[in-house]
Amino acid sequence: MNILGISAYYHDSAAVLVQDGRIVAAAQEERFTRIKHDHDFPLLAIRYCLAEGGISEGELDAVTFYDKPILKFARIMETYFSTAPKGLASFMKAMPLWIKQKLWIPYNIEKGLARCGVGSKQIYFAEHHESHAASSFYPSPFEEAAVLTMDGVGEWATSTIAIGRKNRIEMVKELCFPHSLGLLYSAITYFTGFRVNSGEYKLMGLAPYGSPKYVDKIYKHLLDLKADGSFRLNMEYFGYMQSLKMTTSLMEELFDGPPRTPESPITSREMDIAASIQVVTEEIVIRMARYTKELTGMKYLCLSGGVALNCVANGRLLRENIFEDIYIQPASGDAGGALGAALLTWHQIENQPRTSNLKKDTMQGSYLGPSFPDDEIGAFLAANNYVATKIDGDDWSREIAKRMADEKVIGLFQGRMEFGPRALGCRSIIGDARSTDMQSTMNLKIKYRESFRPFAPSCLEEKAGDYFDIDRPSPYMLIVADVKKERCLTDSDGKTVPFDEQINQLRSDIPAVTHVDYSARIQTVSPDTNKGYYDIIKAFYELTGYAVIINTSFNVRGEPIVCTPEDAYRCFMRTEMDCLVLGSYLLEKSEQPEFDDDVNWRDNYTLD
Amino acid sequence: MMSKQYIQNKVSEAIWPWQRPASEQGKAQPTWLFSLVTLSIAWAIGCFLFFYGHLTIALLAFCISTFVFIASRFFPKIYAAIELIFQKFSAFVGKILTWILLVPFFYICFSIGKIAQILKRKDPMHRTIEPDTVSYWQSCDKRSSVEDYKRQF
Ligand SMILES: [Fe+2]
Repeated sequence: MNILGISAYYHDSAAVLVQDGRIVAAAQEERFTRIKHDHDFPLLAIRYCLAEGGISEGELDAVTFYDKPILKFARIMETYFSTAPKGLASFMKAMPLWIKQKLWIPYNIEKGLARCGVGSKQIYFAEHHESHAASSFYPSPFEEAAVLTMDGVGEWATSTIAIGRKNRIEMVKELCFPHSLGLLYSAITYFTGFRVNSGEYKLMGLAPYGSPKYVDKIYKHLLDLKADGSFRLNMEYFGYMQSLKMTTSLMEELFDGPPRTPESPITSREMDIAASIQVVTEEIVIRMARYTKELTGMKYLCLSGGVALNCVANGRLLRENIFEDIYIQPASGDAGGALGAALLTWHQIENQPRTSNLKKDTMQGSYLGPSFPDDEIGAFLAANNYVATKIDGDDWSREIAKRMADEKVIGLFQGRMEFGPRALGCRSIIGDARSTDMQSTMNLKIKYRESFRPFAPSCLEEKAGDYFDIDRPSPYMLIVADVKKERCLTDSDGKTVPFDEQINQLRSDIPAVTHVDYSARIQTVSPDTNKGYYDIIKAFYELTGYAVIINTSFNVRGEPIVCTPEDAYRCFMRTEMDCLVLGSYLLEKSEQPEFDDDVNWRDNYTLD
Repeated sequence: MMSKQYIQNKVSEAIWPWQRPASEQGKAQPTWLFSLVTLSIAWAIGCFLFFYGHLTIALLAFCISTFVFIASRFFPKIYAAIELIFQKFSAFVGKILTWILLVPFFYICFSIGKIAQILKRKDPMHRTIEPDTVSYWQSCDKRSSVEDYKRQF
């Protein structure tokens, strides 16, 4: 049975194909259209999924949309009833989209499928948080588990608690709009001058530079938090119900001044706000998790929804040992809703059984996107006169490792593209984690992004314990843990030195991946899911004695992660990367012909 | 010299048209049928206007439609520019109409709704803080029959 899951029209639209319960293909639309967080109908992602699954006319059994549009529309209408006569600007922005697209989803699906040359026998609609819950429980290794979902908002729900048993998911409790942990975090993201729905990661990265001096004020004025993690926001401080701004002027009084202007210098105030909201977020997540445990009595927890991408909170949750183990869906944002919708159809609607083994999930490392064969890459390179050397066998990983050890920055494009926001070694930029100025180089000359932003380490799974305080695999870069104390060079008293100095401070023997608070967002790499990437790190280990490298996504600021060899080559030539790996081919920047490029290419990407 | 065409697999073919020249990868040129139908409609309107004595406007319709037709077939860049102008113009008209229709709707409909909410003392957003309440969690009343999944609500 072929089931297509679709998420669209909010942010990060995506398509996923599940065949007889197995995830065959999954991709976000942004990767194909090259528009970051593209929310349009995922036509190209669907086209890819159908091609990957070999689906032709008459073979698609069901399409499931990841939320219930009419319920969502009703919530939006209720919001305007509650805020009128305020809210006109927001209404005028939202309504044309609803009238043109969002109210005609079955029609849009049928039209989109027709353009891909197929039709569907049935169209289903799952609830937003049910899709999130399904996306983490069904692929998890647990036979039964509690499921906690937290995001901005779906139809009404903003956080839910569910129970997953075998092939069923039962939604148990919910918190509803406008009281939302995701929107609270997004409001502060907005206030600190970052972009909502993409800058949340920056806020999290900024938090360790500050001190949490606003925590008490947040608890006193912004929300009423109960012991079980449920809360209500004081909506006088938030503008998202009635305006295009996330916060009101009251927030300015609370945080000693107006919101930071985007792209202006970051001051200690923003760092302190970031640190404070991180503390509050962690506290809410911990309380919710404790209540979830109490309510369900389950040993294991599955997490999803945008808040589950807060890997600092995830790390804290692990350390609290509330549950024996935790599984976090790597595509926890709305793109993952497409996956949940498809799996929900197979297990819950079609009542098909589910197997689990307590060891491995069924995400296949999240490598669920397209890959390109070597002979096609070779043909593409030859057709464009790009200079490349084909390297086979063990030499491939050794040559890449050698270049990394020489402090070269390498664009790595191999295997199937990752599903979800993180690059996990198939569409990555990699480098030597021991290098003292690699963080600045990569941020300013390769990614063209803020210099404070940390880089994540990729580490051989079996060696992770030698570098980090972590006792379990973290294949999806969703857990933050401390760098081993014996590797750290100074005590964490850096908060008194200026911001720029803090960034460049030498903190450990793997400085490029050690954040200011001596933590790291770890990816453990196993040969089971990504042999090529594992081999590269292994070769680097054999050469240098270090089983850790830097891994950041293969893109520049504002650009979606590269999808095709052509995207990769373009990004390689536009930045100061030294080498590019395209499958078995190795390309040196110095050997490439002059690149005929749009001089204003950076204008094509909206800064995130 | 013509280079040999690489035969792509189905997946690659669906998402990476690297062998098509960049100029062809953008918006496709309109088909002959589309161009001819558009021309015929415009000419029909022109004839109608001519018949009823609006000579200047009829002439304008003939000239513009013929120019657009020629551009669509032989000058794709000019046609793309014309299309862009039309798109921007229609988007502008659409925006004006949207404001004319939706602004009164917003104030009439939602203000009445708001008054009704105030009179009923009902707040579906639950915006009041309740210090004495132990928990804000609500029970889910979700049904999950196959029929429920077929519905958009
Ligand atoms: Fe969501």
